[in-house]
Amino acid sequence: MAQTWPLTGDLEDLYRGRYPHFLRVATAIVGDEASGHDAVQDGFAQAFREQQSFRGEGPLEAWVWRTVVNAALAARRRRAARREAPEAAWMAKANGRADESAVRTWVAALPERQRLAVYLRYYADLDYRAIAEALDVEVGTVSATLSSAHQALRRSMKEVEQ
Amino acid sequence: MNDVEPLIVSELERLLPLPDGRRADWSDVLRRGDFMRARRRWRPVLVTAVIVAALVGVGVAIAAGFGAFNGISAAQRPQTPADKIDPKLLAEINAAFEVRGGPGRLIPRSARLVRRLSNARIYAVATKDGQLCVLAARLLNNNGKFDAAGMGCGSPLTQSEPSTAATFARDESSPAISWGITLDSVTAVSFMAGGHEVTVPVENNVWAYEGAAPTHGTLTAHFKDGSTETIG
Repeated sequence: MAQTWPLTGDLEDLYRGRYPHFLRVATAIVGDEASGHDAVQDGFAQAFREQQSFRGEGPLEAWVWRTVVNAALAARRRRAARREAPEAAWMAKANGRADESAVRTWVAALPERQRLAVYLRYYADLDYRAIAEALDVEVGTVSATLSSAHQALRRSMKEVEQ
Repeated sequence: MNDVEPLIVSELERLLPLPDGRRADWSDVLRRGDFMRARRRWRPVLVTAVIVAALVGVGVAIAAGFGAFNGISAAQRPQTPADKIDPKLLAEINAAFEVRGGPGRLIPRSARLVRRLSNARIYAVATKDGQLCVLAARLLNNNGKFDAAGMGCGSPLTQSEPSTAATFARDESSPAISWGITLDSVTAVSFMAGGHEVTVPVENNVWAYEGAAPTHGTLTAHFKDGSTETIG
């Protein structure tokens, strides 16, 4: 049986409608907006090229998120190889108050999967199922991951208060 | 929201506000996709038949229509205004073919509207290299404008490949649309969807099913003489 083919129009609609959200998450992962944009472009190009493999078993958007997140992680690995510090790059651009933020401390300390889940949940506004598709994990794992992240924030807030 | 989520939302927003869309550049995405494609071989999206070479040579001048429509009576008729596909959509598909290295360009005058669904139109279209393409254009709020489309192309139908099949699912909130064009001799097709076997009748060479997306990679065509052919 033939594969689903979400025509260019679908991907283009998603791109045009959600580009800022993709850019924000990619920027958070990679470290700066220019590299984040590159990751979004590469992720969508990958989705465009691989669209035959999308079988319609989940939302198109979640499937594209996976390619964009993977593109951003690859870009971050390349940055890491150049000994750059991606997370610090965009956080340093926030105003001075942010530097003292418990949330900033918290985000920086999160394990990678928790950090990605946080970005997808709060920067992309994805539901748990879409996050699960994007990260290729079970929905229950997303729930547990975010719950752990919230617990870590509570601890981080107590430490900052002290 | 739990006790910490409002703080997370507000602080993350302050750390990295939502950027504007000024950098967005879809043509750059297509260029990058084209570059990737150049390194990998494109594969047809439809089940392929084995006699394409013979039919390509015949071309598109077969009496009542196009070689790609052989055995499809519903498409063997003169084109009417209702058959014409939105030129913008055609241009978009042809551009996608060029970028992806798909089949030859679609022949606009070959387009035949073969089925009207409540929220979609299904067309058969021939390409310049003799392939059969089946296009499902979905209507947005039934206002006559397409909001999305799915398409598959492959070799003309044969007795061993008597039906096309494709599925389009935009998102979770709307059911998938599966469709195909068959030879005149096919009366129904069946496949697995939503955990059970679904049998869909063929009317005027077209079957269409709105519901769970087919889950198995096979489709069984049922012929008038009672025989079946499983594709996949």
